[in-house]
Amino acid sequence: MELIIDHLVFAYGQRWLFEGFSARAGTGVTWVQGANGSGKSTLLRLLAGALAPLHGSFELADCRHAAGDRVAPRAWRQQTFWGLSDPPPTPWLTIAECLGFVAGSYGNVDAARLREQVDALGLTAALATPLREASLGQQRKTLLALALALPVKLLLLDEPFNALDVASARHLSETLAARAARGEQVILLTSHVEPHVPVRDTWTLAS
Amino acid sequence: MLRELLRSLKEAVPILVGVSGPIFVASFALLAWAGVPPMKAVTLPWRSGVALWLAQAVLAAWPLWALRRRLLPEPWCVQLRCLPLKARALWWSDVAVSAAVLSPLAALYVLSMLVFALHRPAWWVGALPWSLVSLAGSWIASCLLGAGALAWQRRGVAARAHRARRAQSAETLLGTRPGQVVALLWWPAWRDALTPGARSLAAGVAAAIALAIAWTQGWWPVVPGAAWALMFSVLAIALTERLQRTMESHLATLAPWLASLPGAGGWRWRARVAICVPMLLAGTAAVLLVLVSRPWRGLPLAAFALGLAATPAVLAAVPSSNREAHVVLWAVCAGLLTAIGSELWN
Repeated sequence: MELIIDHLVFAYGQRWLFEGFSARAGTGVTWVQGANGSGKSTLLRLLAGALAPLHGSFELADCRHAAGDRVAPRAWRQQTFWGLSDPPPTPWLTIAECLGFVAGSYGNVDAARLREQVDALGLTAALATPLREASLGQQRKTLLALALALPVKLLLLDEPFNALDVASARHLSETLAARAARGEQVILLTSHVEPHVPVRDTWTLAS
Repeated sequence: MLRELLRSLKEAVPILVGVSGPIFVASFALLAWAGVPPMKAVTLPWRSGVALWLAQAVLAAWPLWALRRRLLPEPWCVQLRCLPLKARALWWSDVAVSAAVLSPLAALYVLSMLVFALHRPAWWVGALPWSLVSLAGSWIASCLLGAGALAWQRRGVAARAHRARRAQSAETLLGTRPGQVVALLWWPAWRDALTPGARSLAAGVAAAIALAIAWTQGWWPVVPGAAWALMFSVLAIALTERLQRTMESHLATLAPWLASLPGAGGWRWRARVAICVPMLLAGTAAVLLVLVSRPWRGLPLAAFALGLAATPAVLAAVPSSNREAHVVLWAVCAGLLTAIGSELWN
């Protein structure tokens, strides 16, 4: 299983971020690094389907998402999870409701696995807390619990260690390392500091 | 050149005074009307008087209700709960804020009183001094109602925090799988994440239905059918328009995230349907009321029903950022519905 990015072109107005960017990532962790504004988060957004590329295509496990698609194909989204760096944009939902809504969107979530991640990240006591009243760490953990529980092939994690307590950061590192060892997922991870996980490849985006 | 311009302007002064003078005097006369309901209330039979007095007090307090989230943002409410402030101090601060917001209304009431003191109409002189007491009392009641709206906002934040602490088992909590409509449209509307929220919209729909009832039952025959139809259609269109703007900004925030989720297709058209719901509800009630009270008006009623269904659909289809198109749609839809509605009256 390999993620293939082929001649990606993208710009915010007149600000060009990718002009024919091509890369390949195998299973395991690929560390995407670069200065602020180099396009790390944008690359994850493009792969998630949150932004549409101007040109180029993505391919993973016989599924393709290319420029010109009105939205990313459902099959592509089904195999991808985007752990955005911001809190979930649904502050009116409780943590449990947010988990339930996203899990329901994917449809094939193992409830025991989700519960396991919720417990491991120390979210159990906060399940009934509305996201708008939760701490930044709890908001980030909500997305990370989903990231670690959903059976997706492509995991996009934007600054996943930000705002995490020590125990949760350790759990995240260990889980990602175990996934990488098993070769189950392609994991793209952005981070300004070197992540404490075995990194298979490093992409450095130029400013 | 400049001298020429000044001379021409000097010649235009009498014309400007002639044109703007009556407008100025007329605007004063309009402003003087602001204080009439509370002053007139004391001359009416007690039921009508109390109803009129209360209606004015509630209407005047409405800006506080509408602005409560801006005057007391949620983070402030949370901070206030942490400060060592007595309940009485908080209540007096609400009253002070309310009085400050309603101070232009107080000035308007004073102006109104001065205009009436100058003209001294017989009914007003006869009602002295109770008309002035009623006027002052109406403003104080509006201030207290406004303070109540601010207290409600503070209490709401505390109640939400309390609800969050209510214990449920993790299995139960994790077992919920809310659908798109519930999680993205229904809950934000009822949990005060949208402005206007579901309660305000429900009040708007209820007001529109009340207008439709007053219209079809002929409660005040002195008000012509066209005026009722205009009020009903303008209120229904305003609700749709306001909801559309809210929904568009709400969805703009959610769009990138939803685009990445596999099961989240179709939320755009669901949001459009949601935008149409308040007007469709009010419209259905109005059509049923006309059907019961004037069953012989079949053809105009069908046209009215069609107009009521088409208006929100057309408004929702045009993005609210296109202001010119929306102003035109407002005018055309309100005009058509008023014209057809006045036909139903005959």
